[in-house]
Amino acid sequence: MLQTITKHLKRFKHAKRGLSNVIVVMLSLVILVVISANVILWSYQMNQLDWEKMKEDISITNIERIGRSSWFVAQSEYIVNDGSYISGSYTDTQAVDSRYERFTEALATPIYYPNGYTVSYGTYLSGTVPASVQNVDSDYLITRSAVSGTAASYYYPSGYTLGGSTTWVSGSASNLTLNDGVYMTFRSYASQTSSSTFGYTTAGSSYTTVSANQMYGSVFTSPAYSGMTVQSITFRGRGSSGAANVKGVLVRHSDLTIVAVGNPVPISTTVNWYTSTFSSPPSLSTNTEYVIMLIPSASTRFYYVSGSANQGHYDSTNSYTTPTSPTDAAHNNNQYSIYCTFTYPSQYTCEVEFTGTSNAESWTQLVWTIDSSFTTDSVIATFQLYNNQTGSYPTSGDGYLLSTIGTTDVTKTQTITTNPTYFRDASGNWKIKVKGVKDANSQFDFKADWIEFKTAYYNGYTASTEFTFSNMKTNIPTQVNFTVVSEYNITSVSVTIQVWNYSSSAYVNSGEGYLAYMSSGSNETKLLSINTNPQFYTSNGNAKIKVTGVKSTTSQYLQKINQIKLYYKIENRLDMNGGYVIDLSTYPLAHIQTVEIQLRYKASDNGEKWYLKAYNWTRAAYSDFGFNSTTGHTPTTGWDYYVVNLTTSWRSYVWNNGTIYVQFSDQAQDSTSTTIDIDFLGVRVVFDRARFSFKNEGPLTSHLISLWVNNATNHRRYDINLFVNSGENVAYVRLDISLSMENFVVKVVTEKGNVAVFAEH
Amino acid sequence: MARKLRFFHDKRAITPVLSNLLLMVVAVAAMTIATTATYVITTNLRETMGERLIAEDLWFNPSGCISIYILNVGKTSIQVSAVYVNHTKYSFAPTPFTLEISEHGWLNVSCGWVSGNVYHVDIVTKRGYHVADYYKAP
Repeated sequence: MLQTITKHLKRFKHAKRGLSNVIVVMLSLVILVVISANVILWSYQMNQLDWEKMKEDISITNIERIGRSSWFVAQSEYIVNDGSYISGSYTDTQAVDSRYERFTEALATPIYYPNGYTVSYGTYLSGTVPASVQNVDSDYLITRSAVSGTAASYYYPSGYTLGGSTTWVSGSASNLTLNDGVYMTFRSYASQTSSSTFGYTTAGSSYTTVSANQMYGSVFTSPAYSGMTVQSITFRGRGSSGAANVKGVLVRHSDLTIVAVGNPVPISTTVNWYTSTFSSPPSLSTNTEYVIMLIPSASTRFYYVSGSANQGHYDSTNSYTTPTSPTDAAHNNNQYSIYCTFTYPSQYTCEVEFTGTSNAESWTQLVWTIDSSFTTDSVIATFQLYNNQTGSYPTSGDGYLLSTIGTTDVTKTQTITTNPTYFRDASGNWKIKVKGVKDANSQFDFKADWIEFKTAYYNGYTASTEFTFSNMKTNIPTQVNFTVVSEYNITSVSVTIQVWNYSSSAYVNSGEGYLAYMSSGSNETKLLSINTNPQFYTSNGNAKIKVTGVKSTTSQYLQKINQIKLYYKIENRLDMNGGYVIDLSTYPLAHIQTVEIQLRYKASDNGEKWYLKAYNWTRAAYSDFGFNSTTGHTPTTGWDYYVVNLTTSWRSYVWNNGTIYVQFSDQAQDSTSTTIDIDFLGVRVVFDRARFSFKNEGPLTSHLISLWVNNATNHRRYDINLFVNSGENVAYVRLDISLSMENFVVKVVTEKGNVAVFAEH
Repeated sequence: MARKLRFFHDKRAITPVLSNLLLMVVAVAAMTIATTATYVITTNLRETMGERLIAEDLWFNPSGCISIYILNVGKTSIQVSAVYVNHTKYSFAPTPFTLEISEHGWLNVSCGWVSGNVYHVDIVTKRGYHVADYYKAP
């Protein structure tokens, strides 16, 4: 056998044509095998597909509309805002059964503290709200008082000091308190003089030789100046043959009596003007004729010019040593070169310094006023208020007034607001100096009618702080009590506490909500209890109270508020709420039509209604706005169902994460403390969608890929992706499919191509 | 160099080489043609055998046409080449109407319908697969 094979192989090895044929055949066989295998295997697969399709047996067993979700119940304990928890647990309210949670109405007196403040008067100093006003401790809300009033004090001179040679004429300091025309009068003095001459001051060319003991002179009329005093007599002459002494003699012409004799003046033989002075200058009457004469001790030449008739007088029998009145004088017509030099007042001054007292307050301003006049016109009057800071009378600015005043009373006043206290000394004393000056030859009087020294200073300080409460309960209270604990760092502050009345839109000025007292001591506790219409004093959970301290004082003080507390009394109320979360993964917000709240409860009395509300996220408050029923539910004292539907406004009550807060509360305060048993309180969503029931009676798992809902007007395809195991019944809920109320056909298509049909007619 | 020149003048040697080369080219070409033909033939066969489609829904559209929702449940893409309604060919839209594997879509046949009548609708693919059924207009 082996030999035969070997022989065939050797033959085959040497038969080249045979090898090619074999290769060709083999390749052909490979191709054929590939073709056959490919086609046959593919055909097998497709047959398997068809077989599986034929085996698939899916059917729609039921279609139903579903409208409500299961109940979502509380997952945490309820919050009791008003009232009291008695027994049970929130888990007892998750199902309708024999277990329940019990609550009862109770007296509620929540305490509130201010959460805001406004300093109405004064300046905030320290402290915070509410931290500083919650407890009676060392933490205060402190307000520094501010000026709220000023006072004026009026002062008048109590004395005076004359300046220079001023003399008092009449009146007293008491006449200076009113501007009434009753004067205190002072007289001026000559504060400045001028000199002049009268006589003949021109040198004459002729002369008379006057022998010793002879008295020669001429008549001249004195000027009209008042107060004239002759200082000297000057004449022109010389000794006739030697030196001589000459005395000037002033003689009144009317009776030729000597007025005064001058001192001897030695003269020489040189012609000159020689002056004989008076040791005691005599006064000179105005417009009076005087004979100005001389008497030598030796022969003297006395020069003259021709004068008027009898102007010249001479007495040949007089005495140089002791001149006598030349009553027997003879006359000639000579006008001798002789004249008197006299002085007269050219300026008068009246100067008075008035003094007075005042206070030592902290002046805000000083007003000083002088009403006065003079007995002559055009007197330059200077009024000066002594500046103790500089130690002098001002010459300009504050404390200085200048005016020209005549015979009519003029009121001069000045208001000093800058450092008014400079114009007093430490004891409050002040000085006003009045000086009237006039360049005149006649004396005048200063008539002071009214001199006033008025000081203004702060005498009232106020500290007022307003406290505001917010986010309080909005229940109508039966009583509102405010407790204010405060103190002041000075005694006897007039304190007013006022509560804001929202009905009258004003702070209360009397009665309840108003309290006034005089402070004394520290941490004074004051209670304001409002029993009449307490609801007027709160509004939407807000309240206001103002504490005001007023004191007539010249110094600031501190208002220190230690506690502001508000008791908000509500009787027999029950207000509780709980949170619920809707499963949005199952019930998306887009497919929810509304939300229902169901309560099963039992009340111990039926004296009032009970309300279900929900937190309105838009209004940020609990509300039943938009509910199908807002009238509440009257219990029967048995187990009652109370259901509300949030209708189309449900979205305002459901937060984006599905949270809804439900509030259960009573109608109002009453005299009965009601006990409430809650067996069930839940929330569910309402929608209008379809639930499909599929049954797979085939041996293979079916993959459902589409769902058809057809009616006369529309054929609508929905993609689905649902696997139904063999022998399994599956309920399939589609929230986006709304089944119409008319006839419809529902088809479901499998991935393999089978279609199951359900018709509703 | 002399050996090279002698090689070119040796007529007995060149002939077998050329003949062998020619045979090789012919053989390769023949096998290529055979392989290509095999690929084309088997591919067509597979595609033809792999076509499956169903009419998920047929809607006698109130607008006057017949809309057919077709789902490709086969293992190859399909292209509808003709739609026969009561054995009469009607145009359809969109054209070309092609569905890849597992794709689906509406095929609107421009054919009027009368309520209550029964229509035989035959959908034919380019490769000859067809789905036909009777439908009664509502």
